[in-house]
Amino acid sequence: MNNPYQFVRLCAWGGPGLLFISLFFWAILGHNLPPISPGLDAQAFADVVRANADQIRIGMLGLTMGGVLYMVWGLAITKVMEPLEGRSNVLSTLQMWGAGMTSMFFIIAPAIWLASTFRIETASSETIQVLHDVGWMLFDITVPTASIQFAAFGVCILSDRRRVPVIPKWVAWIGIYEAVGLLILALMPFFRTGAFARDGAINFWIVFPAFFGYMVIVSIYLFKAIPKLEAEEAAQGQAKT
Amino acid sequence: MRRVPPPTFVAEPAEADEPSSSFPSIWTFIAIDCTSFGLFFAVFMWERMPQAALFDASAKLLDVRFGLANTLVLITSSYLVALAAAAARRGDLHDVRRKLGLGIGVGAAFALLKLTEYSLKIAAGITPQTNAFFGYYFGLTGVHFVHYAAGMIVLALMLGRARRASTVDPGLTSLMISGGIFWHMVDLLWVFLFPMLYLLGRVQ
Repeated sequence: MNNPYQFVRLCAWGGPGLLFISLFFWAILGHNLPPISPGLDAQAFADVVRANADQIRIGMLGLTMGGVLYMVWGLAITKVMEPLEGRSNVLSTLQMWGAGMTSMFFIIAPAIWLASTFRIETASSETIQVLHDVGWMLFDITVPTASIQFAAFGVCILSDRRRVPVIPKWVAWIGIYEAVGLLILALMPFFRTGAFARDGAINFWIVFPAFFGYMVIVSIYLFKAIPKLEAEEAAQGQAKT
Repeated sequence: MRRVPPPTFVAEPAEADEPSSSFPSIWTFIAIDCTSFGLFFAVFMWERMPQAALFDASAKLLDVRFGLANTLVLITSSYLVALAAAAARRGDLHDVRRKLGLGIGVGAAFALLKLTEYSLKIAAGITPQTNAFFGYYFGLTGVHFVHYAAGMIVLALMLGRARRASTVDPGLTSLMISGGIFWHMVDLLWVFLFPMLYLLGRVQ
């Protein structure tokens, strides 16, 4: 009999894979630890980009190419959610669409930052800065797609009626917290400096580690859930024969 | 005489929560959300230190009456929701509906007051960009307002469930307790925000 979870474990590795790409390519090479301050004037801002253009180019290329892993990871989550949901597949479908759309922003936003380095020798400072602003708007303000994803995941876990839930309920509540907490990024367009700016203490140093930290937690519990569901599937298969 | 169910049934009910959890799992959310707000408050106080004079002068532009009224509104609403949860435990469905309805009615005043206050500030030319203090004022109260709005939706869902119910079942009691805990958190966060934003600048 075919194992329905044959490729799920492989897909689940998309999460840790994207985490590595985000940290190494986007954060370190892409000069985003912390991001270049939006409070700088165009000249000072562009000077930082010009001085690090090669690294930023490789970093953003890495995330543009690797961003699709978020969708791959989302498929693993959906396959774990389906048996929890039973006959209705609304929550697992919402999660999949949320993850798929979020992956678009892991692709499009770094592509725009990448574009800012394409004509670095001739581009005006204002153009470079505006391209970075556009990238950040796409990266930060589009979080409702991830909110939908995490909320659907959380509600699905809470509705699991097994005596020992496949994924602990505290993981669900952190997901619901993330769904709400990410919305704080919506304050970003109002601030170029301070805690709510895109490089600020709250919008960057609290929200981003919380998001990527939750990806770690979900990935750990995906890897724990898959063998449980495989055992459940095997037991059901034996009961039928 | 009531028949005692067999031990296996007690140990493995068909629709049980996690075996070890005797308290609502929403506490995980409450703990992490309160931790986040704790960090936000710490960031506010940290940024306030080098520019205390600006923060104090700005705080004086806030109308304490709005802040105080909203504190009383949320505490009263929270108390009514606590009474509704107590009524659910007693199995008094009529009282659950009444107290919950009152709690929502009183809670609605918070939105009215807060939105009026926001409008007055914006009409006076005070926006998040005015200075760092008002950035925090709009940012932190805005995040709190999202929690408040979510809480009102949860209370409305609880009331809808209570209206449809014919008796107080364990599901409704559990919902009343979990939803109530969330609503108390909304109230608690405001109790911290009010002195930090409105009163701190007035203490000399």
